[in-house]
Amino acid sequence: MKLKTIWAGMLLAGLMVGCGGTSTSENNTQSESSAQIDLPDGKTLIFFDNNTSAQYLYDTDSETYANMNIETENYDMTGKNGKLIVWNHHTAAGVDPKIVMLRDDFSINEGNVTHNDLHYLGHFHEDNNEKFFAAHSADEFDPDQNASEKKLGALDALSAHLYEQEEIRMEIEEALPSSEMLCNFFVFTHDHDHEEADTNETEEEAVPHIALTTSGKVYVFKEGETGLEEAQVSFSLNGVTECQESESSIIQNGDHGVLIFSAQTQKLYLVDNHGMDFHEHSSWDISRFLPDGFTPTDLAGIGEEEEHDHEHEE
Amino acid sequence: MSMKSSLSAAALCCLLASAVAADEVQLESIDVVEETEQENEAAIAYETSYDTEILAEKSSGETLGDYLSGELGVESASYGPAVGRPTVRGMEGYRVGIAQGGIMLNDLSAMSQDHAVGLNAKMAERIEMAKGPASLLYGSYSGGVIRTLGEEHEGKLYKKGMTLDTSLSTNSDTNKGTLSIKAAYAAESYEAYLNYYNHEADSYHSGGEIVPDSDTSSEQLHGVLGWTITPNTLIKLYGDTMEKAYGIPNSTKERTDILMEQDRYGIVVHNRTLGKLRNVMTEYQISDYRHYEREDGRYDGLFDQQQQSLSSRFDFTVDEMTEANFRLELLQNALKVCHEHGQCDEFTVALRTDAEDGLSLLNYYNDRGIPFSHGHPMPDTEEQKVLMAFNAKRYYETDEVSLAANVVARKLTPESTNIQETWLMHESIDPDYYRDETRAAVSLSLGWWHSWSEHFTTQTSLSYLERLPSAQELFWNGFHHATESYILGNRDLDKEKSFNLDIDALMQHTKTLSSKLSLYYYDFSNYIYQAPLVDGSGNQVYDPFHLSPVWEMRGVGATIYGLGIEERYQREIEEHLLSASLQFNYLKGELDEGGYIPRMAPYNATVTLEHEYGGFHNEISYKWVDKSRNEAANETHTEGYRMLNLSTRYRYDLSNGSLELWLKAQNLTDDIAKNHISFLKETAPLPGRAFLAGIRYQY
Repeated sequence: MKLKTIWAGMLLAGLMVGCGGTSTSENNTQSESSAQIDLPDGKTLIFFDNNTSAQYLYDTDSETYANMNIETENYDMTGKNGKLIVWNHHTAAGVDPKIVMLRDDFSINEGNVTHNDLHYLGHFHEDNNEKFFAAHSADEFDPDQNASEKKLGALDALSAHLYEQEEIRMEIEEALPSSEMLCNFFVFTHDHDHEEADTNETEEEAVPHIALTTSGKVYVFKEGETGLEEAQVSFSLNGVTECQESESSIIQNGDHGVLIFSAQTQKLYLVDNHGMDFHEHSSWDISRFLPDGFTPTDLAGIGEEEEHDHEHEE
Repeated sequence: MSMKSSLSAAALCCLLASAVAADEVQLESIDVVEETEQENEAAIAYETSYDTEILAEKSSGETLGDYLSGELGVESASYGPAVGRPTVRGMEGYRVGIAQGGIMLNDLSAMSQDHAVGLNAKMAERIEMAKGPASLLYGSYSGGVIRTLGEEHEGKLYKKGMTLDTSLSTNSDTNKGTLSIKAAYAAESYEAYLNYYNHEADSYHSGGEIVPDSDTSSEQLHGVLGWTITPNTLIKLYGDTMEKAYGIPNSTKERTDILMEQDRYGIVVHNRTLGKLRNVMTEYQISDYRHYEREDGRYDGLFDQQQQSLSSRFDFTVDEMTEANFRLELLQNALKVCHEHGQCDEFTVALRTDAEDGLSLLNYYNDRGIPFSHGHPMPDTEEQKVLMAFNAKRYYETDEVSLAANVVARKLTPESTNIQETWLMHESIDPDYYRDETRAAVSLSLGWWHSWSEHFTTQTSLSYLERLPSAQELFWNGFHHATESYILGNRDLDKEKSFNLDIDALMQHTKTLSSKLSLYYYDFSNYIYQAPLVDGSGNQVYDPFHLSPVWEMRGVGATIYGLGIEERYQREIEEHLLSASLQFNYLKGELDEGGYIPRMAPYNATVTLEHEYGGFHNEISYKWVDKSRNEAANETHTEGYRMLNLSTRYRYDLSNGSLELWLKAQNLTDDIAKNHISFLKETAPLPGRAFLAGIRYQY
């Protein structure tokens, strides 16, 4: 008898006496139990298909997804178009990572964000010491409907963030080789306060700027004396040969990595630098953990670990 | 028809022909002289056979390296308690052949030191070491060939009736132990044989500290069915399945472990005679080997090798004074490799788009001069190999002269569909990197055994050996998780060539005192080994992704030489038998360009005293291992150590069978013993003090 058979028998016996765990599934939620996905822990990812308005939330800890298009929820996107952004909102209490679903025709270059420019603003809510993702509707930010000062202030802060992003975009575009065009980008924000004996000075590290070009290559820049400089060898993401901003996303993953989503390949790429150079560490087919037939065009994601990142004070 | 099918068909034809042809033979009365199966310690020979149980009694561990490391010139390249590939006279990896019967073991232990040998030593009936002309029958290995022989390789049926041999042991340090059960039933014309082995061990201690991730679990089952078709023909069918799971005690914070499994099935046809051929042994085997490498439970590496082989060995008597051994082998194996963080629970075919092949790799090559890759480290490969070998021996009154030769022809076909597009070798770096190649290697060996007097015998062999570089030595370009290193293969490696001179001498001073001397001198014109890659300033180069040291595959001129001395004294005082032996090993490996070869065993000496009385056997051994003196450039220093072992065994004859109880005390002084030839010497020293107890019942 093969050893595998012996083990299989023992496993079966173990299961029969109740060693195995059980899982329950709620409405619109499925458990991924056939194979371990092993996406980075602690992340809530939102995938959105701007062509069909389908929208799913995926929790990397529980490895479950949920359909977000529920009529009663503020984040219902049924029949709507939009684009997702991640915004680390600095408040007096700390950094509150948020996911904002803007209208897909919105541009910060045409003016500040108003309630008319967004569908929802989501973040973690806490109830009975349990965190869950929830969203505020656009109406809650409407001054005509008595939006609070706090909420209007949040929109101003969001606008400031988007303006800053536009400045960075121009800087990166300038730094790219002439043969390349910028598709998407992400900038790490590593201001670590080092408390020293006599002073409380801030040491600013060279902040990596990750740039994804329209040809699917990844460039890494760092601040130099005369502007951004290439920090390492550029590389391509497997299978990515073209990129549009509306069909790609880059979100932070810890202090030293990003998750890049490409609608072209329907893959999620982990690019990190646990040694020296950023590189494609792993990749996941979206179809491994989201429903069959769902082909998102956009991704946003937040995790609790990002709350520990220290950003520029705005 | 595919090569695989062709080989299967050839195997079937060959085996049928053996059986049919054998039936037609009119047997005469032939005295078949069996080769000696017992180790004769006071003898020198090109082939030395060891009873596995005797090796097990003296062994300090469970690996093949542990079993053989008491032999002159043999060390174990340990990598935790689960891994210990033998090194012989300074030869490691691909320079030492490990075969089951005659077929090279289908594992990847020669590829990397973290990969365990694909068998448990305890499962073999006998272990044989072949060197010089005798080893050429199985391949071209400077360190010779270690053959593990199972029941299927015996040219006779098992002892008639029911046989049972079972043992159980426990280890005070690792809390667990071993279990082995061997049962056989044989009648006049058939036999059934089953051998089961299990080894479990928690992490061990060294110097009072636990060595993390040094646990192991191994299980193997081997079954043989044999029947005598005619008085001349014996057929044995066998099946074997093995599973092994072991931690890698490396320096990573996350646990690294390996899950290995191997299945083998085969048929062996033994013909006493076939025409003018004698002792014909024809074997067909298919086997499937697979291992996963995990980090923190993530499947980061996957290796799979499927192999099938057809081989036949036979003897031919030329005249009264001359006989020859022949061996033919057809072998095919297909190796698949996956190495990607968390993605290697199965093999995948890489995406292909209209993007330029090898773009990221080219960028690194242009920037660093090295085509660094973060993709799968080597293409899948398929090897088809033909081996033809003979060993002719002519006997004189006081001499035996041997002449052996082999030819190995190999077709190697790389298949790059597993490599991610961006990490393919770029055309501008090497336009035909993934080319098929067919190469041949020819090796010769001349042996001379001479008895100078009744007391003094020498054995000399001079060999010219050619070894084809392995697929891994040619193609590997990437990180290896378990060894935390970046290996840079060399696609243009030439054959490894060497002249090997081995001289063994035995002086039987008196009936009780003997001296054995082994001298060896191996001159390589293209010694293939992994050396630390350094930049123009002599600084170690690190890979840009993990900051791991880069080890480069090099082929260079090198010389390895050494000697082994063994003194034995035995005396009987009434019913007490006292034995003493002293062993000394000296070894040096030098590069022609200056400097030393890394991971050469330091000088060492072992004193052993044995006492036998009635059913008692007591043994004390003390091993001294010197610090590493001849270190390669950038090789870390290793301090010497001492190892004091004691054992006592008592055998009691029962009315039905016998019972044996034993106790071993290992590393009594709890010395921190770092094995210089291990890649993991810093993080995985040899086990500290431990007490082992065992019981064996034979029926």
